[in-house]
Amino acid sequence: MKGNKKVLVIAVLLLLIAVSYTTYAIYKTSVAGNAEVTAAAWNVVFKNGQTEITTTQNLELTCANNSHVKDGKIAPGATCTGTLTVDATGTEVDVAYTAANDGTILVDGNEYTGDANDFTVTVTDNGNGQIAYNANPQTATITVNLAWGSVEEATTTDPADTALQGETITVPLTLTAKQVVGA
Amino acid sequence: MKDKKDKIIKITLIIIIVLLLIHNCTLIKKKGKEKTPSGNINIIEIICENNDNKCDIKDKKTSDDTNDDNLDTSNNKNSVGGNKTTTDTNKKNKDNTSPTSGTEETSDDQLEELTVLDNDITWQDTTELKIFENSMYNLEGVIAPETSNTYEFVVKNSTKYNVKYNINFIETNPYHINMKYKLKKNNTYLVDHYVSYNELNINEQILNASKNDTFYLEWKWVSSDNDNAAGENKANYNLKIEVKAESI
Repeated sequence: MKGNKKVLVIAVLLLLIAVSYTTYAIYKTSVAGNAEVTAAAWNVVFKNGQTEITTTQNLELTCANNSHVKDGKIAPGATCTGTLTVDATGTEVDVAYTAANDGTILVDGNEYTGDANDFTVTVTDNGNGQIAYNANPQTATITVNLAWGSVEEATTTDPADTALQGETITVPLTLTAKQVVGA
Repeated sequence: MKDKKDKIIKITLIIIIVLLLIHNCTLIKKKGKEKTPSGNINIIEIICENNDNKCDIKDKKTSDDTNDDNLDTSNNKNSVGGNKTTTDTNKKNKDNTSPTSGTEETSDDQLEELTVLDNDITWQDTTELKIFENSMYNLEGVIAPETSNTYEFVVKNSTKYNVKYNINFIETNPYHINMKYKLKKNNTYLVDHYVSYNELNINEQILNASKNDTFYLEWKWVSSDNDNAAGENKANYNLKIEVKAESI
């Protein structure tokens, strides 16, 4: 009888152990994956000659081919031209740029309120263009023309014109460059 | 007579218990030593005690072997169309949860493994994933504002056990690229609008034995004020995905 009890106790203990092993046997797995990527480079600047345009600055206009007008000066009937560069070297996206004048002309810093036809501003390709990320070189030139009236108009005497002598005439340009998005 | 009977009962009981013990010890060996994973500790293979042999376990899949019916390897794009689905959605588990996987069963040869894989590769410890390939850059790992794509991966339960798993997403983003995500599991969105990585984490997903779950991770660089800084510095962006599973 005693022997039987001992066997029973041992059997129960062994059973408990067996059940415990089953309970604690949990399968666990952990895996991980990693993705690293780089942002496409953005390196677009506007240049006035070799000078990077970072703030508002003057674009020098060359008033050439006006043999009757002193260099660097504009007069009725004359045209002045200036160029600036869009440099996107190293950029890894297509770039769309604009150089726009909203029709405002400044005389000595003040908005010119004379005849709207007195001055005409034109920009290459209406001031719009694109530079592909795989272009070589990744640059574009923007040409700005400022014309003061016409030669025909210059033959008559306009008091408004004579009032501008000695004044500084400014053509405000807004320059933008942005990434081309889409297919 | 009675003594004989008792003896027989005793012996039978002992034999049963010993057999039970042997069976459970074998089970434990096959499952491997119990480990609590931490960090990137990776337990994919089930290792037997006699370490030179693989016991009954098949070798880890190669990329050819992972051409599962769920995956289309005929193109290079990450987003893959079309999963085959079964129709066992009316069945319930013992705990009355709905089945979470709607994809076909694996064969008997593929038992004893829980794996995560995509079109190209089965994930291992620190696998490099091609999440951010996109057509804008000829499938290279370069991104820009407004680029997007979808990355597909499969959690495959080739074991004999039902499992529950968590998926965690961890981002390293020093230039604060405005990267957003959606997440779809099989044919259902878990996250159906663009969110940051830390809103993607999912927990307690149940996956029955011999079933798969297919995930679609949709990503997009949404334009923001930080874009120029990221581009000017050719910023790096990193996304890590961790899958942790345990049997239930």
